Amino acid sequence: MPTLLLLDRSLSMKRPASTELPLSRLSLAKEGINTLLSYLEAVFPSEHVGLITFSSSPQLVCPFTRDLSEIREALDSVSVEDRTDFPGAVQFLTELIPKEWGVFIPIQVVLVSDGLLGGGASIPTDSPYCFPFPCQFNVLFIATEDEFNQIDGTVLESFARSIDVSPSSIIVSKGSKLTSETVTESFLSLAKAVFFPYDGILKCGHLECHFTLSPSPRMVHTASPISTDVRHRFSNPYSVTEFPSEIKICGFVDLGVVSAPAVYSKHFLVDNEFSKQDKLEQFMKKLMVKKGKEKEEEEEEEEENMSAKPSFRVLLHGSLKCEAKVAIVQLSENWFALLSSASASSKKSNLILTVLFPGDNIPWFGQMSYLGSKVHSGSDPRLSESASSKSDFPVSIPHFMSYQAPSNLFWAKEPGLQTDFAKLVRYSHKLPEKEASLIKELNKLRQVVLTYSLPHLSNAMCSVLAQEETNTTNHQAKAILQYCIQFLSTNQNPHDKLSPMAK
Amino acid sequence: MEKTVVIVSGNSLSSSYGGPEISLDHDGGPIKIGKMLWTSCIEAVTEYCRIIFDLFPDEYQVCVAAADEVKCHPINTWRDEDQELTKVQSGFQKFGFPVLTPPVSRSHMTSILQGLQFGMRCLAQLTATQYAVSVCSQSVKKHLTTINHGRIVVFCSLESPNDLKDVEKAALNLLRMENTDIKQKQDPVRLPIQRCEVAVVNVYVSGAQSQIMPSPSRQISNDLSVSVYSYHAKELIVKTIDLVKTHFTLKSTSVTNIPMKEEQSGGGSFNYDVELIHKADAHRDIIRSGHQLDSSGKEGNSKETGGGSGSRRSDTVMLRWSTPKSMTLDLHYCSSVYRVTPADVTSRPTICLINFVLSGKPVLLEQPRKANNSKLITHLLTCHGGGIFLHCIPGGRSCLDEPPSISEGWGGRVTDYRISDFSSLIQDNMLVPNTVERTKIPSQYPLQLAEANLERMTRHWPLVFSDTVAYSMVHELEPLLSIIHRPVISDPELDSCKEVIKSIQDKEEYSEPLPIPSSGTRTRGSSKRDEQYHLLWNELEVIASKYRQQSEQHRMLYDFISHAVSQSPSCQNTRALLEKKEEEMAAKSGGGGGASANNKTAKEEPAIAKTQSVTSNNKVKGMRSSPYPVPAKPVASLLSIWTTQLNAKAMQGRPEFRGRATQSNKAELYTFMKNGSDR
Repeated sequence: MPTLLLLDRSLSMKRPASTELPLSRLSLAKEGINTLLSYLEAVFPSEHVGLITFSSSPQLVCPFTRDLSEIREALDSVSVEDRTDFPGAVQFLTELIPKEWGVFIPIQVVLVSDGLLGGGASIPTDSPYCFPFPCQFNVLFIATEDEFNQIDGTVLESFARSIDVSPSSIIVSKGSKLTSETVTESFLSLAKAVFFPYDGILKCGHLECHFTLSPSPRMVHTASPISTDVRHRFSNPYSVTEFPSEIKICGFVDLGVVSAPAVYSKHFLVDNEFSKQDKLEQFMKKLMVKKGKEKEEEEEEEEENMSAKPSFRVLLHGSLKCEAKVAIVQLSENWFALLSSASASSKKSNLILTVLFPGDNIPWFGQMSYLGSKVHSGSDPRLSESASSKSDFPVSIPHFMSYQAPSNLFWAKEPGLQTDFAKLVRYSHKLPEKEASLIKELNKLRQVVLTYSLPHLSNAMCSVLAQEETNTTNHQAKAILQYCIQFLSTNQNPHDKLSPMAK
Repeated sequence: MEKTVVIVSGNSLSSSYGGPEISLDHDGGPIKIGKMLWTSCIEAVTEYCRIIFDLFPDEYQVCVAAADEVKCHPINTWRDEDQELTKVQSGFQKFGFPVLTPPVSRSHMTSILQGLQFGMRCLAQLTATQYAVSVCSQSVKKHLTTINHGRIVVFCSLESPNDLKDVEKAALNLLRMENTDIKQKQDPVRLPIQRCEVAVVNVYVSGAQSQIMPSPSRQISNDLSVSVYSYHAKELIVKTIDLVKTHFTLKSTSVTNIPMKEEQSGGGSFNYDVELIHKADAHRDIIRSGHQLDSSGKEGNSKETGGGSGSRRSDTVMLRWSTPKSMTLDLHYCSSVYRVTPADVTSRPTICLINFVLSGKPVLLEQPRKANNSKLITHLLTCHGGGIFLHCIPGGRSCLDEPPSISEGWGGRVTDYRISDFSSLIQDNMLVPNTVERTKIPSQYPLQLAEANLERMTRHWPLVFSDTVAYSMVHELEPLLSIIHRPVISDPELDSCKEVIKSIQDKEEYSEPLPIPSSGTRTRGSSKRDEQYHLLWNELEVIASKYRQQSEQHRMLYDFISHAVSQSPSCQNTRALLEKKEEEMAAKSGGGGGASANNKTAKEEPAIAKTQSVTSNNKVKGMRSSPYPVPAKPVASLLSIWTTQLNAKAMQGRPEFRGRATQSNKAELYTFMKNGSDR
């Protein structure tokens, strides 16, 4: 998910870190951000990052990009300005993000400030400020714990409440003095808490591989699933469990039948270079001390080995792409995802995991748990007990819908009745040839009369037919018309339908 | 509110005409057809039900009833098959005209009260869904809470504001009575009503009746609320659609600028608008992103009643028809999907749009163009399985542009993946939907069986050709390789498998080289052929060992193969060689570290361990990395349950003829006679 760095460049950021360290807090913040960027580059290579600075006026210093060197460059040129206007920055965000990312993709916001957000820090609302897009707000203060405690508690509290973060999750530097190390450490602890790479296992029977998801699946969400399942409707479909660490392929379907389901989130399914936790720790340490290059070479060597080792992921990708198929992946009992190959160009292609809302949310798939193997559902006797007959995609809607050529529905609306009545009159002129058509129209109109209790319509039909009967000279036609009038005026049984006169 | 009971209270409505007239053209001048209030009400009820049935076929149920002074007649029931508009219409046909009795003996309220009583009783009854929950096992039930909320909509004609008080009083009494009755009788097919809303729709033509003032939902007690609506007969249908919208939180979208060829004006094109109704959530994204101009964008007072001609359009969002270009096969990124139904199902523009969509063509909807004339697609209208759905397409850029290339990742440089073999595995594991029985919860879902299928077929599945001898020469080994992973093997199939093994034995005897692509520099030197045979035999044994617990036939096949392996000269040679090497290794490392672990597995599974050491000598690592289940220790998996079941089934059959059961394939006959002669 895109990350937005929100950097305070107000005058107070110019304060030196401590009496011993003349470095300004802004330069400490820059240093910390650079560490975070190096971390992201290595661990979240396809993360979009943007940089906004704010003082009295907010400014998009660097638009969202994957090339983090652009951010570094932009960061270099940031200098201290005037007073803090945090609400202004929030307003700026609110307008900027939907334009770029819409209101569906969750955004990770990292506020970097010295904690002196001024009197107007809180947005003047009672309830937390509601961004129009899903958003996780993280706060990192370039301040020691002591300094942090000196800031008026109520100001901070209302600040935290206004952007919906708990005061305890605001990160400050450890120790009594601000140093380059403590700031870097606090940035890395943020990275660990927020940008922790997901590690999962994809299973397909006995075949398996480790993977991570980009963007990471642990994200804030405004889940609004629409569950139509009979069984799960009552079992609180609104709670979304944490993304499981093991996901399994249950089978495959054609890409075409999937169409456009409601998607909860989408991710690249890529290798996890940090599948072993100690490796990540090592990397973090390395970032801390910024050690020489010898270790990196070692890693590269290992990577080379990995690329020569067969991986199930590559095999799966190849076959899915060739066959234009999608794998149905089960995440938890009633939570599914689709795994497909996606390509931006012919060269670059990868696996994409499309996570659905929990529940049965593809109406044209029916219930997911009732999907069964195509080959065996016919021959396997064990299947017959659980599901009797099979159909094919898309699953037809369970009921008749009023808009599907509603010939067995009746409406008492003027235009429809008008046409039907005109037909009745027309056919009555052309008797006895049009007897069958006349009777069909008559039956149809009679159904309307019965459904909506429209005796006047019935009377009108009778009188029109009676008029015709007196006018016509054809005996056969007379007989048919009399027969019709007789039926209309006496029979009230809705099941009876007029059938053509016996000859 | 999952359950709705709609009551049309007969008598007070059937006595007066006053609905909009229909005029039919005829030679002798237009014929006016008057509508009774009753007719207008049935039209309204039809619309009310139509929208719910179309939008919530699985979620909400409606039960309709017509009340007269004597009793209340059900028009349809909660049963699944009755939740259709055709059933409601045929129900009304059966009911016919409400019986007109002179209103002397009873007050006009009688039929309303009859209706309310029936409504309460109806709400207490279980719907198909609730029934499914009530009959499922206790363990499943724990996770389910049965909610019984409902709404009663009463279409009636009240005479004075005092009547409303009577309705409120009666509703409260009837609710109490019904709930206490259920508690006393412990009725299994009825549920206490936890919450009930009574919506009184007063239909009037003129006069005193029009003095009934609408009032928003009012809480009478903690489980009962009453709301009052008052509509003139002429606007009843339109207002009823608004009522459904408030009851089920619906909004509408007007598809504007639909181009349609008009025959009457010489084939010229005209633009039409069609209003579609759907869940209000479908507008959430555009309201949040602040793009919407035409709609007020706010929820407003959802309880608005009567009056205000301008209010009708306020919840409609206008979206322009965007002529579709080409649709790509890639999965669309939709944030949500909703069913839709047209507001006016019979109008010509509606029918045209619906038919267009039902024919399978997608329609993209865009925001009205703004000053900068940019196009912003927000919704997609398309049909799946005969139903029409509105898909919300989130705007903005995607974080998934430019994927990292898979060839740069792990395993990306490997070129000999068994792609086409995996494709056929995919073909064998294609999923199809199965019919769902709503009232039955199966012990095993088809999806679990499909998963078991996948498990069985991948027990031995080398990723690359260089890891496998057997799958590099599939032609020689068919049908063995395709038969072995079937759940059951028939006797003729078993025989054909044995044939395959025999033919390999023959080939080895004649020292024919194996038909493996020569490109692999797997082995060097004179022992190449032996080595290949050895690898093949070992792999076959590994494959067979993984299926030996599948069925009796699988076990027999395993026995047959392992017998063949033990007889193979190549295996005997290499085995001797290996043992020597291993001894040396063990001596060197002093039995510590990896070697001891190797020995351990060697004891458990000699064949597999051997393959590993051979393959690792030859830099074929795949086998080691693929996960082997240990056949000796059955895990309590789906598979093991299967196998035990299958074995049990096999046990029930006739015992195998003793001669065939023995390994020598010979049985001595008439042994008892021999015994006898001895004596």
